[in-house]
Amino acid sequence: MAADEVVQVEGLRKRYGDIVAVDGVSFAVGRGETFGIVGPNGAGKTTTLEIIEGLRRPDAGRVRVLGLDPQRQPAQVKQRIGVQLQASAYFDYLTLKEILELFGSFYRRRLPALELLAMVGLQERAGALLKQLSGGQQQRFSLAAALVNDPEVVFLDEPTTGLDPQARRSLWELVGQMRSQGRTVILTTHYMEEAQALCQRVAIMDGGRIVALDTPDALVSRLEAPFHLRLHLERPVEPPTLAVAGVTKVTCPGDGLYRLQVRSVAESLPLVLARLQELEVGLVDLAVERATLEDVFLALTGKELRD
Amino acid sequence: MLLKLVVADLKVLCRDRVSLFWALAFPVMFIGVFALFNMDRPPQVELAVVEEAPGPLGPPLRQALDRMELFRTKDEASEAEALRKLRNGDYDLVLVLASDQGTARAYYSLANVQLNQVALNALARFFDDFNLQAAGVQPMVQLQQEAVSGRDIGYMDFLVPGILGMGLMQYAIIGMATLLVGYRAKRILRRVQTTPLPVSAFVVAQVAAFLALSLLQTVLILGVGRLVGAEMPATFFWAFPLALLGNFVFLNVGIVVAALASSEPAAAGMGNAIGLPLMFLSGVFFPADQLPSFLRELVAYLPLAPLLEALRAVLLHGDPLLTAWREVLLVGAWAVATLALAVRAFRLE
Repeated sequence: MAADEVVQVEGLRKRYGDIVAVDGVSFAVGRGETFGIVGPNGAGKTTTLEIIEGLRRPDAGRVRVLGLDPQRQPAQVKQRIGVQLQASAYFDYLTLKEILELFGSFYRRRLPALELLAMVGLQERAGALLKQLSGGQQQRFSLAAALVNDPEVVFLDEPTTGLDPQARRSLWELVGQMRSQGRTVILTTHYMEEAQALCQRVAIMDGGRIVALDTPDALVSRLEAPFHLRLHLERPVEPPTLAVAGVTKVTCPGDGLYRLQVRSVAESLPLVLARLQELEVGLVDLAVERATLEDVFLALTGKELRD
Repeated sequence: MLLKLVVADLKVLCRDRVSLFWALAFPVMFIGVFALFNMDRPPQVELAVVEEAPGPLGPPLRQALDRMELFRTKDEASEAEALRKLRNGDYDLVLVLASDQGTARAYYSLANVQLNQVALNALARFFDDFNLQAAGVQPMVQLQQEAVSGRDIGYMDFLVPGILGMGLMQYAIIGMATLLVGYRAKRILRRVQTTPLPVSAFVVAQVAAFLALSLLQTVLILGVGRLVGAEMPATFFWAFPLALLGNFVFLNVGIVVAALASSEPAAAGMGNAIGLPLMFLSGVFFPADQLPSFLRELVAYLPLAPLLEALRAVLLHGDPLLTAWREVLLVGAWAVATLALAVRAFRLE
């Protein structure tokens, strides 16, 4: 095992009855890395995570966490990892501080409750009950709870699902903070922009398999057309007339609005401008964008990520 | 580590005011309500006395009737009015002293046959005694009555152990079942599974917290029982180990119910479906002697009836625990069986 790989997964398989949830998944995560598993609901992200955490037994495959087998040495693994479960809650009738102290008591190594609450900006609410917190605060609390044992590896399962954009940003900051503390973070999400913002490497899962694994930049660069030109024209034109050299696809999302997927901006942009002059159509606005992981997912699976 | 968990579990149980109400206040209210009925008071017969004409026998007869606890005696001026009230149910019995002072007529309604039977017998004896006394005859044989029970057993003495058993059962089954279903739904059990603490230890701590609370329940129910007049023989302390044993059985049942139920209301419903029939058949409020014999024999083998039997041995009869060894053994067997079931049925999701 490479010294800096804290999580290794090889040939993982898990089926529930007739449904194959995880179908031959392999990857490795380096120390201090923030690693994302993205994909739609039902792609097998949560099952993969729960097998690595030692909560479920795989049908086949090999898992090592910090060099330990989560099935054979579960207690040792659990001492050193922190877990935030998807949609999990805590005791209704204990205060935030009491919950953190209680969970801390399950571990040999623990961080002070107030320090954890300060870390997620909830020190003022130490005596509050969970139900008195907003959704974003509850989610921040569950991050704090995942850190009670000062873990080396943190697993976050869909940490921002259901949060408003502001709460999501605040959670992103916390994940960044975990990375700067030197922790390895493995998270799942079905928000591509989240994976792009947080993760150094991303595994894209679909139907129980990893269909691509790389840095977000590299994944986008691998696209046939990694750039988008967004045009706002004075009057509508026939979309095919804009398909100059290097344009792979033209879509028309609105009146006078066009989106051109291009292989290279340097190649296609002058040609598009020249075509507009030929057509004698004025340009209201022009934007050049890099493609996103959303486009990568669409290109790899032929599916939109969110329905 | 586990102690801290038990303390946290106790905090959770005690801060959940609604559940705590069912555990502690509800059984106590039962005792209070039954105490209001005063089941120990002997039945009373409403008696109206009509004197057709005033005579010398009237006053002494009237005084003698007043001394009888069975009768609540009132005077009525007119026979017709007294009979009308008898038909309305205001009186159980109307006694008319004829104007010749040598006859008395008793009228009774058929509305309450049992009570009237007692009342008419008492009245007949009353007149016998009265006649003998008036004739100055000394009775040849005097009958003396004495109850042989060591203690004077009242209804509260019978009821309090019953309520204790009921309270222990209901809170254990429904409390444990709804709590676990809630923890499962909130994925708290899964969350515990991600820590080094074994989930089994988590459940054991939960059971310990409930057991501790059952001791508080026992203190409270026995205390209130004492206040409303239940006797506490010296053997009462045996009620505590019995409470723990019985509670343990029903906590296991609660764990099984939690495994079978998909939601908290379903768990509460299922818990009641088990608890309520047991409560009515096992002799919580009244002795179960009136049940059909096959049912009585069946219920005697279910956990609540032997628990109540053992509780009444130490609380009602003041017997040492060993006199109820068969019942204790039976409840113990249930403890083992339900524990095995609970371990098998328990599920995290």
